[in-house]
Amino acid sequence: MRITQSTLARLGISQLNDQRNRLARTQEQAATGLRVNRPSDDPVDYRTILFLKDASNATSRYLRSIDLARVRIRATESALDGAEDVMSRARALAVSARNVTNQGPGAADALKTEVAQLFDELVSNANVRAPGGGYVFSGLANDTETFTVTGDFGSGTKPTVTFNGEGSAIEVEIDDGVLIEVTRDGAGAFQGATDAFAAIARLWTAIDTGNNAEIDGANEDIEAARDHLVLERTILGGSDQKADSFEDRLRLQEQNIASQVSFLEDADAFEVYSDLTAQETALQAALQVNARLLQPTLLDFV
Amino acid sequence: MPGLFDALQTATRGLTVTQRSLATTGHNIANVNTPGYSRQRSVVVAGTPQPDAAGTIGSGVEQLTVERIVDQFVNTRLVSETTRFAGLDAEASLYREIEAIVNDQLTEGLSDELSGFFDALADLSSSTTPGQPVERGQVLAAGEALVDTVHRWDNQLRTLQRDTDRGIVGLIPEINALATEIAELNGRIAEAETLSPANDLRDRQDRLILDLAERIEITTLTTDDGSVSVRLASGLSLVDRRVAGQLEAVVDPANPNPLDATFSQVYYVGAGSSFDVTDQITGGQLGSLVQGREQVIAGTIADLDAFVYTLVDTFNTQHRLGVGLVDDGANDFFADMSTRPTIDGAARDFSIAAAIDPDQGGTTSNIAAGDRANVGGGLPGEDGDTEWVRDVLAGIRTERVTGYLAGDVPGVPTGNSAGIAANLINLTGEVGQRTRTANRALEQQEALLQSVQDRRDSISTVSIDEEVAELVKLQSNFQANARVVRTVSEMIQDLFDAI
Repeated sequence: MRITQSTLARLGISQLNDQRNRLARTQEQAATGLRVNRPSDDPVDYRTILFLKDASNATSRYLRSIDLARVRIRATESALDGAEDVMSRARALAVSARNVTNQGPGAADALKTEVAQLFDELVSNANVRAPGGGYVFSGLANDTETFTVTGDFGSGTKPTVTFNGEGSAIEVEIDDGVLIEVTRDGAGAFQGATDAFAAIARLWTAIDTGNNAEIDGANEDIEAARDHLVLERTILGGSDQKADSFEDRLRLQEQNIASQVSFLEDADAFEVYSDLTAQETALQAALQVNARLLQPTLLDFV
Repeated sequence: MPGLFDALQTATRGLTVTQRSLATTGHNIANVNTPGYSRQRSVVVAGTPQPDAAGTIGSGVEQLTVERIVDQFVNTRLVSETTRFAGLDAEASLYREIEAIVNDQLTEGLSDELSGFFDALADLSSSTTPGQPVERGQVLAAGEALVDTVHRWDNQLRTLQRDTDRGIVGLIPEINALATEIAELNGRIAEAETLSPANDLRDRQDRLILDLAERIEITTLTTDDGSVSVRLASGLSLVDRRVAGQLEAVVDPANPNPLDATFSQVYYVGAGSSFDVTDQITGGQLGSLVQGREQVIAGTIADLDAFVYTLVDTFNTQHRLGVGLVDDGANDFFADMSTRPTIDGAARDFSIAAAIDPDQGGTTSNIAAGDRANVGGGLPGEDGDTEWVRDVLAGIRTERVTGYLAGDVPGVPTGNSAGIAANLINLTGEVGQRTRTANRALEQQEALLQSVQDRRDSISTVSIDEEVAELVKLQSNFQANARVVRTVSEMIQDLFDAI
């Protein structure tokens, strides 16, 4: 084949252009640290990366949901704790209330005042609001005050408590399709098997009438209601544990996805820098070779 | 019988031919860097001998012609490969621009906005107080960001489409000018070649044809008189000897879309008639631009329309089933588009529904956060049936729905069943795949074109080495001829001296 000066010049220029193109690509990878800078760099991996990033978004969303869920679990738990405490104190009062009529004048009145205070304390625990405002035990109707009290101990009508909320526990999604209950159904917790409010009211009436059998009956009711509150708290504790274990799992998953994304999209720094050096050297060599090759002709020797 | 003067004449002719060859060599050297120049060679033969009884004695050297060293086959290949290269080059740059618009990898792209929108919905669902305006406002803001990003993509794609249209309009005068020049050159070549080969004019002709071939696919036919006929790939005659046909860019009156009214159709203007040839244009820059405007860019816009319509349709259908804080009937979240004839333009008309958008007199209270079917007494949605948002609205993100395809009629989706987020990833992934294919094809074509150029170079370009060798040869040739003249002259002097 006949090779002329213009062939050499054109070939040289196009080779230099190729090398500069390669260098530019490596330079981009070195600058961004990414192997996949645009879809066409690797269409298959590009899709995988976006799917993984999508999954990673979902994971961080669930982690945020868990944080918010915990706020409500804590609020519910501390309310149940408080209620349990009220019931324990009511039992202690019930024990000391036996034969109260023999303890001298005013003793019964003092006990009744204390029982009435416990009643109010229980109601305020049952009407607790989560940080942010919603009534914890009102279920989905969390803008509505959970329990309303009609009547009071002083007057003729004994206080009765009505549930105004909606009878379900709020559930929060903490992973695809995995739901945990972050609150309890107020009616179920406080008025389920045994009505905790009624039990305390019964104690008050029993003390008022000085009926020991009634006091014992009220005491049993209070114990049953307390046991039920403990059970409710245990169930919620299960949600808490589930949230913990899913949080660990999700954090691990988040890390796994991040490392998988990094594996797919990140440029191998060592490879990139060594490529960069090699390509720079090659370009310099090509420049020198071309500069020499293009100069001499027969003219230089005639 | 030849005499001394005959020998003198032979030597003189030798000197003349050597000088003419020297001129040709000089011409070659002068044009060593001229693009498209083909080296020339002076063709010499021995002169016609004079018969003589004592043996034929030659009459020296004679120059027949000056020929141009070309290989027509290689030139024809060069024309077709140039067309293909220019076409692929234009196509690949279009794809690279589209890719830069829809690149979700580096920039905060549509995927992020879509994700943000569903995040806001999830926040609404885990909110302790869905009646409060904060989370609702976030859903609206995220929805607006999604709408804005879709509009940005749509605008950029449409701007690219308009620029491509301007590129088409700009190419047409160039094609016409080249055609006219070729036709005019045809006349000059035919005239000149009645005497001798018009080498340099033919080089110019080749050069013009190559320039034309970059812009549009053509076939050429050289006739006996040296003029060339150029036909477009569809068979229409662009240059016939000295007559050049013309193309014309005509604003398309039939284009139904008012925003795209600047789009031009390509008309062919020939002997007394003029007609639309847009669909017949293939190859070269013009072919790629036409195809890019009508298929590549339009296709990406249509894919975006399909993605948007699928999202709007799926989301609104569920949203209408829910209730906001006030029950004033079923509300759309995104402006309804179900009454349009096809889903074309869905991305451009994508917006938040007037009932939701405060700028249009709506209110975020209308964002559904409760299931209409579950609402009992009291104000609907007031208590926030957040489970519904969680299960239904935010669930749409991953739920598989039958998607719409470009050109579908609202209500009749014909696409595959896939998640909304997956639809978007597929859209940009598809662009990436095509860009890669276009880049690869361009690289391969570049290599192919280069090998054809190498062949043309090897045949036709000037080699300084060769020309310098030729110079040395011609110089000694000239010296030898001059010596013959001197010898003859001395012999004649000798004769004069003898008298």
